[in-house]
Amino acid sequence: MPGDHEGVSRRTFLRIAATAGAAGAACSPPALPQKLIPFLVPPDEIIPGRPLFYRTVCRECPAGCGVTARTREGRAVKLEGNPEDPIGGGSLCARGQASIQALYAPDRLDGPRRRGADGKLAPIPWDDAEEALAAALTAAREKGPGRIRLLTRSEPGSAGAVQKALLRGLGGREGDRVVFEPFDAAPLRAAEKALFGVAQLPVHDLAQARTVVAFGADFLETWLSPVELTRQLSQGRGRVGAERTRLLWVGPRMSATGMSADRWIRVRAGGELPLALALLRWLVEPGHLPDLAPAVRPLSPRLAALDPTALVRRAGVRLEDVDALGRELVARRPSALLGPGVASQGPEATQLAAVLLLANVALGNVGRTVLHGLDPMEDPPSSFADVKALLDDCAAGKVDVLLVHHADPAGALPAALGAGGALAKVPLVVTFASLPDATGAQAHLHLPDHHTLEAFGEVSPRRGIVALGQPVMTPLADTRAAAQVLLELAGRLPQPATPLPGDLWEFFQARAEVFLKPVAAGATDVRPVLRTAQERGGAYYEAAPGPVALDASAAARFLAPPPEAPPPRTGELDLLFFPTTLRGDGQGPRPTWLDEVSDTVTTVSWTAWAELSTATAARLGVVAGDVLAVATRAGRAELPAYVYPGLRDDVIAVPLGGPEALALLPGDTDPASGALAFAGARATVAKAGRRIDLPVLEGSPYQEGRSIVKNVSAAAPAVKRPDLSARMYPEPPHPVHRWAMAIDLDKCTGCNACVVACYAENNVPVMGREAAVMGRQMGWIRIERYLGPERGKLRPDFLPMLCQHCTNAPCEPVCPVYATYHTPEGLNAQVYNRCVGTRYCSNNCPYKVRTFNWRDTKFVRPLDLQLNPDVTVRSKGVMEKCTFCVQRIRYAEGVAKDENRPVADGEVTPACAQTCPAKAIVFGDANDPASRVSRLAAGPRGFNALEEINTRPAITYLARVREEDP
Amino acid sequence: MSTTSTSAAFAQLQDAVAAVPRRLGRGYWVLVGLAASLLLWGAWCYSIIVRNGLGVTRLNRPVMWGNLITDFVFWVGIAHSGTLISAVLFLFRARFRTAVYRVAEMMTVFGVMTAGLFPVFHLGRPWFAYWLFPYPNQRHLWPNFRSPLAWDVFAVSTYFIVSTVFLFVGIGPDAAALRDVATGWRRRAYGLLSLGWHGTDAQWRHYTRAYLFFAAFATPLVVSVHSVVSWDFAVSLTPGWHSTLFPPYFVAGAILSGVAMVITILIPLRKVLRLTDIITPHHLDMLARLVLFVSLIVTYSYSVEIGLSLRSPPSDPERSTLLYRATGAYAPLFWLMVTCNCVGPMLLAVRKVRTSIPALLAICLAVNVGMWLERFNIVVTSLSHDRLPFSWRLYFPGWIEWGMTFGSFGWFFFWFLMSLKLLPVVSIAEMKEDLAHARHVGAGEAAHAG
Amino acid sequence: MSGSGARPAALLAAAAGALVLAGAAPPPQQPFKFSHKVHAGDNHIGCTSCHVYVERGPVAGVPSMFRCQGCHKFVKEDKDNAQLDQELKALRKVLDEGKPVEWARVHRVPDHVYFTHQRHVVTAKLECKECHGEVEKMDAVRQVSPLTMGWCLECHQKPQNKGKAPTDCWACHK
Repeated sequence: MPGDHEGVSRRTFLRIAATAGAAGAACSPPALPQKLIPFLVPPDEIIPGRPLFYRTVCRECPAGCGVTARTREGRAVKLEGNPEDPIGGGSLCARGQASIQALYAPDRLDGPRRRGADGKLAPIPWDDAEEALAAALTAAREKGPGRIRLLTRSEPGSAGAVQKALLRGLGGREGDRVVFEPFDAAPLRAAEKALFGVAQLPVHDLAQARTVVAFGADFLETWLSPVELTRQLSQGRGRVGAERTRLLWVGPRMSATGMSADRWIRVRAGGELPLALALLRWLVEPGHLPDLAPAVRPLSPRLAALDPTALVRRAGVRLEDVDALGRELVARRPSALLGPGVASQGPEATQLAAVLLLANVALGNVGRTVLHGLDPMEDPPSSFADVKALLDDCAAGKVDVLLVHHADPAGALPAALGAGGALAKVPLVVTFASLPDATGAQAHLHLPDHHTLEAFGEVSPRRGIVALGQPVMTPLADTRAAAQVLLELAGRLPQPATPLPGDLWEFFQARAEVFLKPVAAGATDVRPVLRTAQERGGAYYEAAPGPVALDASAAARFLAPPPEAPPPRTGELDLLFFPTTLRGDGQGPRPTWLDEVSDTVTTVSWTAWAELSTATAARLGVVAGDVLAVATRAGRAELPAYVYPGLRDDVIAVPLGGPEALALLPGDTDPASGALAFAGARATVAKAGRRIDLPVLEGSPYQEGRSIVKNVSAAAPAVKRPDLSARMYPEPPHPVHRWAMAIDLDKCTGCNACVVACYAENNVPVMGREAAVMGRQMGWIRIERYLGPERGKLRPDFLPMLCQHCTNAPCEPVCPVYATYHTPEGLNAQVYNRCVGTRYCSNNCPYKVRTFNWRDTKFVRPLDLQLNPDVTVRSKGVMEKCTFCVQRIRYAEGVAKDENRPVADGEVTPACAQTCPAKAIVFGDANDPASRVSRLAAGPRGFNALEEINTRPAITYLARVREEDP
Repeated sequence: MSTTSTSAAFAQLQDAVAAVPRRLGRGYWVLVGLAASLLLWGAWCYSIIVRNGLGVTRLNRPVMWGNLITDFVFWVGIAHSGTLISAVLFLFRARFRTAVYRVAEMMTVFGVMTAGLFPVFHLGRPWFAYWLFPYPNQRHLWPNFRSPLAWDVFAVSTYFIVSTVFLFVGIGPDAAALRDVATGWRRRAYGLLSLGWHGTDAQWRHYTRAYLFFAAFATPLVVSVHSVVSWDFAVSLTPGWHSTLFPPYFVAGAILSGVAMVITILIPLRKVLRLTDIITPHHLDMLARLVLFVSLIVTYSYSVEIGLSLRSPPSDPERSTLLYRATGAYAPLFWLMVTCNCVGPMLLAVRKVRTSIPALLAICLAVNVGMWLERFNIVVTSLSHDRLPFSWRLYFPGWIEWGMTFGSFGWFFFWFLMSLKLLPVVSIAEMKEDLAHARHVGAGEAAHAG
Repeated sequence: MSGSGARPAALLAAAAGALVLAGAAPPPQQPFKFSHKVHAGDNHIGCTSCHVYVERGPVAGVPSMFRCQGCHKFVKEDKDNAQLDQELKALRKVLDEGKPVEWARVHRVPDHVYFTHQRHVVTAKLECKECHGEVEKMDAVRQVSPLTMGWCLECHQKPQNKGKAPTDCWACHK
């Protein structure tokens, strides 16, 4: 916040006066840009200072959520969900929100590079690069098939089609193009193929399910389509009684998904399958399921042969648990059994998937909550076995040219596979990645691709949806769309078998003719249709799920009891690998927002960790922060310990998405599907003798008996609230609006999407690991994750904590210079340029939601291009905090004013509320009794945080419904 | 009973005081050097803070106040003894004050000078400190008079002005006396300080009136200043701060630290400056009793604070915070504080301890440490253990903060030592009165004082 | 927030400041000689015909080179005014180069101030000259108003603007 030029000299003087003299001179404000540079030719659509929105699609994971990109003066500043998109439904997850950072990453390649003899990357013109590659391809092609390979992420669209066409042109075979998706649910595909004949992924409709049982499937975090599934689940949440959707979590570790569950069934590692079998057996037992689906009847004898006691022993649960689970599922239909997820994807993953599908059939869920025939099966990922085969060929020198497209095997495959070594054997590795990743470090030729926000492209994540990507801004650097490069290559190759257009746009339009048919409705000219679709963000049309027929004989093969796992050797623990939203699958560099934001379960940031249960930690004499030496037969890694009561005593858990996990992964496969077996490893644990300061957000993980987060139940459906009618002072008046927020804790899954969205919207600086250790994160909203009401009691609650915009705000009276004050609209304002930094407001804030600028933050170019021009960038020494996105409020008010009408309910949405996948955050005007927020706040589940101190917050939390302890 | 002997005694007294500057030899300059270097270190640390922001400290969320505020409260406390000893005891006609009050007043002035710096030092943007003063400006903006920090501005500046004036009014006659014997620049300086004093009856009449007036005027400040400072905490919501007990509790604490500091300084001073027969063991004894008395009040405050908190339910944050002080991560500091401020002074009840000068010095030094710790405990433990357990976090000062703390001692002692070169450390005029009085009444001083 | 007691004093201060600045601030050195007098004054070209965004957005906008071109395709020379003719030649050169002119900025408020022309010109119906002075009489434009907070408040606090012009800090600072 540099001051006006006439003031500068005075302030500089005062700085000098304020210090020993020389010191002050160092920190006078930077000179302001004093130039006005006009457009040469003004773009019609751009009005300087006004936002311009484009629809596109998120490519962070295969789910393919729709995106609305807000641009200012021709640069993207914020990503939001596309409300018209049936998958994302207007929301984005934390990863989607952070994807814009890759666009402005300072270490992004600004053009093609070739690795010289000295091993260094040197710039090279596009033409030369393509020429060189074309030559190499021609040479390799002469040597016969299989010498040219392509490793790519799943590209169900033009990009994929171009790849296939080019390879075909080069005389490649089917298998030469390997699709790499580390977290792909391959076992589920395999099970579907075996049981129903088609290798498709089912689509779920959890909104219809009354009980959801997740067998290690973290569908609120990374499984299949997390944003969509979160929204579906939340539709059944937020109500008391039988109507409320229940969630049961099966696994040795209570994951973030498990924290949202009503019950946690603590099976031992690999216990999901025996439990599933026992459950299926229970279901087909006569008298349990009156209208048992006929398709599964033939399986009854096979199932009856199974010994339930043996199964439950293997699962590590009791017969009663199976009984209770069965009864609930019978009583509450339709339900949905989900799995396996990455955490439960072991050597028998396909069998687990099959058994769960059978149970779904038995319960009549298939066709109601588990839907088929919606997977377009366009470009399904190859199995892990195929990837392994490719690496073996590379290692064996059978590959001359390896093209790598948005895949980072070296960064996401078990170290045991030696992907690095294999790549080193390939004479020419070409990567299209525009950011430096582990694979790129070994690539000889870098042909940086556009960022999704700079390129055309379409993906069809599901039948009935063709999501259209379009450039929302001109490319920042000298990058080229990978597909475009391939097309140009095809042009340079001697007589390619299949003639390809030289331009991606033509290719794309040709395809559009096809994929737009369902919406074109016989239109002769498809271009206007395409334009409309692009404005909407995609072509959306009705696609009905189809029926499936169960092949009972095939099913029978999956009913054998799983092989007995060898008893653990002394000192050995079951090793559990689990994915998290923030850490992802480990491909490519992680956006700094995802590093800065704290993990939902452990509140750890900036590092990987190893979780031990309280008892195990005590047994090993380990406290949080002790460095553990974890070793498997594959390798060893040193990880700081985090003591987590939500873990079985016989398990140690390590998050994926980093080299530590990869070092420990044995890299076994599930034979039936060829998928990587994440589960099933064992590890020895010892103290490394060092300890580090663990960057955790939490102070005490427990509520210390203060009952800060309230719960309700069918028995007691209303929160008991204190009588706060007594007033000593008159309330501040709110003549027009009183902005308020309601947060439904029964819907909140602690997914951190709101936190990242806030970073993006409000120019919140990333402080780094040291700051995280010291408790200096700048986030305006944080997920307060309480493990339980008092020490040692596990009953998790999420409390998204942001400025409460109190009516009686404790911060306001104590500020000596009115830098914080109460606006007529009920907002608790912080005026940065008035703040002198006494920090008294923070000391007096019972919610501790104010953050202080301990230092000046540098937004290194081009990161500064992402800064939201509507929000002041704060300088060192001033306090800041959540503003309820006042800039968005002002924008909406401005629009309403121009249209000469009052602001409508729901017209203003802060960034956090906008992106919430669970739609748990509702914002509006409390002065309007009819507004959603008013009605929610008045409901029986409403309560304020620390209500008893009478701050009268504008934020009302809606108590989580809890019938039992997890 | 001959006037000659009296005047001889007067002369002797006057020479003793006048000789003070001459007695300050190499040792003195070593001390000055030490103070100056501490001061420079502090200045260096502060320049680092201004250049890089408060990030260079170990402060964090939730503990956004640390050493700097602790130092502020500590030095305001130190500044209390002066006015108490000179003004209050003057009004109560406690004779024993005469010999010691000048030192106490000098301490007060330098104490406030030190304290006054910290509110500026701890600001995130100190170059805007002037925004805390009400002055008409084109922005139409004013300070927020509801904020205790704004009250501080007035409380501290008022206290500084009054105590300074009080000091110099008292010095007038002495300066005149010294002027008449001094030579060179000192003569001019004393001339200035004496404000044209000639000891005429009229002047004496006005002087005594004025002195009485200032004493009366300053006395309420003894209560007000530290009450206002305590409001910085008491007015807030923070558990461990939000307490009506704070004003009296803080005033008592301030007096305890102040008097302890006076003794700490007097004991070496009277030795080095050979003032042993002017500042006698009797004076120290009286001050020691004062320490004992105030320490009892402080002890009572501690027990009331904890006692009250115990009456609330276990989940109550107030209770939790106060118990946390005694049992949590900062417990060692808490118990050290109790030992220094409560147990130590108790020993002064024993005449043998009280009259043993080394013992007295040790106990008073301990009290100084203890009182600093008390403020640290109040500021830091409360913040680190607030209402939301999720935001709990510890704070331990880094070398920058320590630099500032020790630097403040450097600053304080630098001025104090320098002033020894000029200011009369004992009030000659009033001593003369006492002497004269003594000759009439004989050795009955103790009776009067007690 | 503003202490009504001291308003007169503050107003005086502001007024004084205004005077000083208006008197003191010289027009900045422009890279290229452009006369508002010739355009807005002699030729009566309205402000909005060049500063096109003033009614639509926060910033008034500097005319694009394209827009200059628009007229100066035809206005290439001035037979009977040698000096003007010279300047027009110079302009042609710039336009042919096809590079934007980097104008020196005359008016600016600090980054932490969110000012919008639209509100003032469209909603409040203010004349440009009320803040920018009689530009049509200036060869080189200079700043005539101090653009200080007090100066803004003078207007925003006028009784007749009550309820229309906000005095809430967050109206301009965000």
